[in-house]
Amino acid sequence: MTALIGAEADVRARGGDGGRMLGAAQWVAIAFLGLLLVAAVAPWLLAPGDPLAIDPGEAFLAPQWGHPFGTDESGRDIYTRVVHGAAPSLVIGVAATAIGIALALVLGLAAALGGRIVDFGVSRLLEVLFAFPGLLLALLVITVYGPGVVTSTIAVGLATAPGYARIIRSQTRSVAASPYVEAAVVLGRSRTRILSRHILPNAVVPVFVLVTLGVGQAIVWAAALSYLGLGAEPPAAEWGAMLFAGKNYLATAWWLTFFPGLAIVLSAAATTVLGRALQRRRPQ
Amino acid sequence: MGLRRAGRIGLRVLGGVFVLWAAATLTFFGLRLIPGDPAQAILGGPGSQASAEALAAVRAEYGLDQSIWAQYGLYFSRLLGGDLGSSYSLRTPVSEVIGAQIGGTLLLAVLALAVAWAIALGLAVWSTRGGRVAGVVGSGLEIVAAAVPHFWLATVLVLIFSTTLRWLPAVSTQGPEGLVLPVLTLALPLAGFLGQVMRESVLDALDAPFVLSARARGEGESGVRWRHVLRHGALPGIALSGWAFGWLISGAVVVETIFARPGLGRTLLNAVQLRDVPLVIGVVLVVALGYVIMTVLTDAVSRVADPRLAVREREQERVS
Amino acid sequence: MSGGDETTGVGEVLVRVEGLRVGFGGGRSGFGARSRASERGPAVVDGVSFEVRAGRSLAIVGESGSGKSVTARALVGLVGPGSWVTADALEVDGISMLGASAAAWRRVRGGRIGLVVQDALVSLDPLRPIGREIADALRLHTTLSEAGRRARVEELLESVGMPEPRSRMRQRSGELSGGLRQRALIASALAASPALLIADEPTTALDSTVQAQILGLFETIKARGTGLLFISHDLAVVSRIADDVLVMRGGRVVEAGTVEAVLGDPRSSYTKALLRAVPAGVARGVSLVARGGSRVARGGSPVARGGSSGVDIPSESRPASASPTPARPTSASEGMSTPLLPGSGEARVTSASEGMSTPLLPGSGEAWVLEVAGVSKTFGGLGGRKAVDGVSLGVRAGTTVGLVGESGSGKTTVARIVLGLTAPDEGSVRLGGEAWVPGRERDRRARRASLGAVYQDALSSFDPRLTVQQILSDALRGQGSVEGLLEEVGLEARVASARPLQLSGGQRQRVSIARALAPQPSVIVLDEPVSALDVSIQAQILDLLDALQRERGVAYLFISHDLGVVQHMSDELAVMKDGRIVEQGPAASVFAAPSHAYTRALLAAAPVLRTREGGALAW
Repeated sequence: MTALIGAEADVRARGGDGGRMLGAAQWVAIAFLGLLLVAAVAPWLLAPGDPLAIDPGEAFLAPQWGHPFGTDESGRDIYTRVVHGAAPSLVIGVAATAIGIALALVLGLAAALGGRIVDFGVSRLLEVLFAFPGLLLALLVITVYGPGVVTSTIAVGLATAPGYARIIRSQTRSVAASPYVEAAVVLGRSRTRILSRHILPNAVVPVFVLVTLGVGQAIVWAAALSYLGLGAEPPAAEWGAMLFAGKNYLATAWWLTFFPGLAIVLSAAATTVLGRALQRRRPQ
Repeated sequence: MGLRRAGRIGLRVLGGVFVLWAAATLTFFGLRLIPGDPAQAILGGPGSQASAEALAAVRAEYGLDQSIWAQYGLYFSRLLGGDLGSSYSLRTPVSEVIGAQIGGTLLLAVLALAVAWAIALGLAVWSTRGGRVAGVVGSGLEIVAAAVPHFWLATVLVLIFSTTLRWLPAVSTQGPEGLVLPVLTLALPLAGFLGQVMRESVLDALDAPFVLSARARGEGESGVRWRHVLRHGALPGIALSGWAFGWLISGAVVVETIFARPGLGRTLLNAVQLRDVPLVIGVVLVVALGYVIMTVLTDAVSRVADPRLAVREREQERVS
Repeated sequence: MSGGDETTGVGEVLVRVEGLRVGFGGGRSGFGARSRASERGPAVVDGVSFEVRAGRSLAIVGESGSGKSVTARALVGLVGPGSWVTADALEVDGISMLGASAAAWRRVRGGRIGLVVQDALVSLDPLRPIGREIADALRLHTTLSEAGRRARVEELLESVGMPEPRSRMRQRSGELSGGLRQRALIASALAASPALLIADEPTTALDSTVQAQILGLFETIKARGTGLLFISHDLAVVSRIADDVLVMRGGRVVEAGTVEAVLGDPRSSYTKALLRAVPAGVARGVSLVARGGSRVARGGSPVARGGSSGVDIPSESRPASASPTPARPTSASEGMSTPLLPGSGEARVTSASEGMSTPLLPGSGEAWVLEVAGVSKTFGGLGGRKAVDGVSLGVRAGTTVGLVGESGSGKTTVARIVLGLTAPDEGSVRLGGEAWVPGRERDRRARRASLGAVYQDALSSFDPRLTVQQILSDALRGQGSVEGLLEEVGLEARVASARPLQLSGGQRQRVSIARALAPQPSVIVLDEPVSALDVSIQAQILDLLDALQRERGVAYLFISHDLGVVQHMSDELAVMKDGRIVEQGPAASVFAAPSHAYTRALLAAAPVLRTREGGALAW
């Protein structure tokens, strides 16, 4: 008789169920980001109304037919405002990420490839910047230049740069010290050739993952600044500004803050899911 | 060995002092970029129409009539004496303001760190047991960490626990019940982040030969988790606690504002809004000091907990 | 539960397995799928039967993927997640384990069967003192008090030959050397006195001198009456430790019997091929894959070479005088009937006879392609470790110099200095008679074509973004075709479109060799080129290297920890220890009459393929 021997004690979840679920999650994320893009480029397709149209008679309506997300203190339709808020929020997120990554590329690549002294200098600079954690660096920038959309975007970009720079530096250093770069040296390739053929492509490709992850983060950070009254200002249809305007009515009209917040959370979640998926797909 | 360790710790402390000096210098010169007349700003901004005498008095008080290097020297000599200057807006010494506010923020941060740790480690160990729910929770951690901002989490928690259930106050009160929502708001996203890192580490440990070796010795599932895997899961949590501290202080800016809780974060936000430069500098430097102390501490604890770190470091020294 | 040696008589059956089949899952089919019988994946162990008796040792031999480790782990119910295991019979101490509960398995693990898992270096929890790890087995299987456990741990450590057991038991595994870690691991497996000890590749990561000590320890354990199940890829190790042998391939038993029968008179062609593939004692130039008269061919099968063969050998790489390679024995029997050990030198001298009288040091006006003169290198600044200390050696055109040493002996640093990747503190290297190191990389670059390199970890030496086509055409720089190069190293042209990640270990190493050959170098530095490969693949690669040397006249600096491989490949030999060369000379004479004590120790420790009677293997 052949019998099944049952002794499988260790069952785990890595790559198993979790990985499978993420497959579905990735599609949802991509679909949501697609929708977001439509909302940013052609918001009238999703919400034909005017996001700034006031109707005092319809103020503080709870979510209902005709106003799926309710209305705000001036009777503006929150659904329309959330849809039209996609463009400014996305632009702020992308712009802040671009600033952060660009700065980080300069610092990270210089540190990794510029020799000992440059590396020492940049590394110390990064260490110092890390002592202003999270929003603190952004708050310092706003102290200097005053609140506003442009300042807060730049502030978020600057505040995220040290983290990216450190990742890019270590990634580039490990590529530069990799056996395949040594193999290219042994083959007699020139420095510029090794740099362009091996180091830069291998070091820069992962940056796209950082960008994907970063946009979601930047939207969240910029919204946090707006929420504190340091970024975009009402009545602009920008998610953070909507949060700022609605926070005084939290107890009476929760939908004023809930739906713009949800839009921020979903955008960040979608970019995170997509970014992680890209990260896993990378060889090695 | 002992000498080497002492030398290492000395180097770390020296590095910390350097970071503090550089942070102070950077803020000092950075804030000189503010356009306009600082004396004017002190007296309430351009609209205040302060008299020439009042401006002169302010300039003298803050050393604004001297060269920038003299101001820097003055700033630093005062800093070393623990004098952070006077707040423009509150008209009291910055050190007093900070002294009054720091306790609440530290309490908040320490509690949130502890709660985040407990949730993260629990989730990391539990979510690697297998099964569908655990797997989904495991992969959901990173999304919680990255995508749920404090301001929205606070909104949702208040909606549930204050507005609907009426269990907890929406505005922070003196009692312990007023701490629950702020602590949770700070702790949950951090728990997501720590949990995700710890989970990776737990999974690595479960795959490691030494766990197979323990099983082959007759160790059961709970023995494997308690005696072996848990420690390995906790290691990255220790290493990240310095970073987490800074992150919590930064989060306190938002959370203290939302829950109307007195503390360093709200003080900082007010100072930024009023452009109260000495107060901004003071708070930022205190946070930087806390960050530096925490990183030196966690670094030391990590090295005691994991002897492999020292070995790895030596190897890296050899390579570079 | 304690005292396996008291309760079990010698010769008693400890474990009996019949028709064991093991497989992994049915792929990821649906959410939360535990593999059901209907969706099982293919069996990786298919119908294996054997028994192990007290006081005897059974060795399961096979290459990677043979299913030998999975078989061992099935005996303790630890095959791993997503696996299925079936058997007609699986008995431990006469008790059937079919359908046994998890608790019953836990009593067997460590209690009746001890398992020394693979990867000795990382098999003890790095965060816990080794004493605690060993005491865990006692906590689980005995009723000893804490003090009693501590005393027993000390005893155990002493019995496995751990020096200063009392202080060592408080150390964590990272503070111990590889050999001591393996001893501690064995102590933890033996702690509760199991009747059977399974050891999975227990000596693979260890230096040969340490390996010999650990094998000695296993012999002692066996002599105490414990049964041994030994999993190994190394026939020489097996021939020393085993009473019975089971040869596995692709999950099935190919051959079984006593060690004398299987290794001395193998029946299956696979066992024969495995034995042939062992390079130790096989004379220079004799094919390992196709021994039996024919010379080495490139791809494992004889491939005729096109008429262009001589053209692409750079003229300076050919020695001015005579033939590029010394006459080598072509008759297979000559090499094979010769035991490896000292005292049998005369049969092997043929391979490097010209080298005998000449010292290895450069300067005698011959065609040296590579001359290393007194190089030293210290790492870690002042008071650091001297990795290389006054090393001198020379490589003549078209010949091979073997550089052998254990881990940490500095041989890889020598390779890096020769390749111009690490600057020496002292000394110099000349390439093709001209200054090479020290010097500026800019000046070296143009001459890099005459120096190639092949690394142990071929995969990491390839840019992960590039295909084989791109890698090789980069190396060729328009000087020849990728197809020609692939053919020369025995690869099909379609490999060109693959990325290295998609290739097997042997194929990767062939690509790596092709890349080194592309610029037509006069000398190639090979750093442990076959250490990561299975023995049959190793044999093919060694044959390929030999053929290429003969055809192209390229010289090798062949670095390895494996004496057998070095002996088979080298004309000249240098033995390194602690950064110094302790002995060098013609390979045959070093092996025949080692003059330095360390070389003698190394030779004595090297596991040698032999039957119990000590006679030669013949088939």
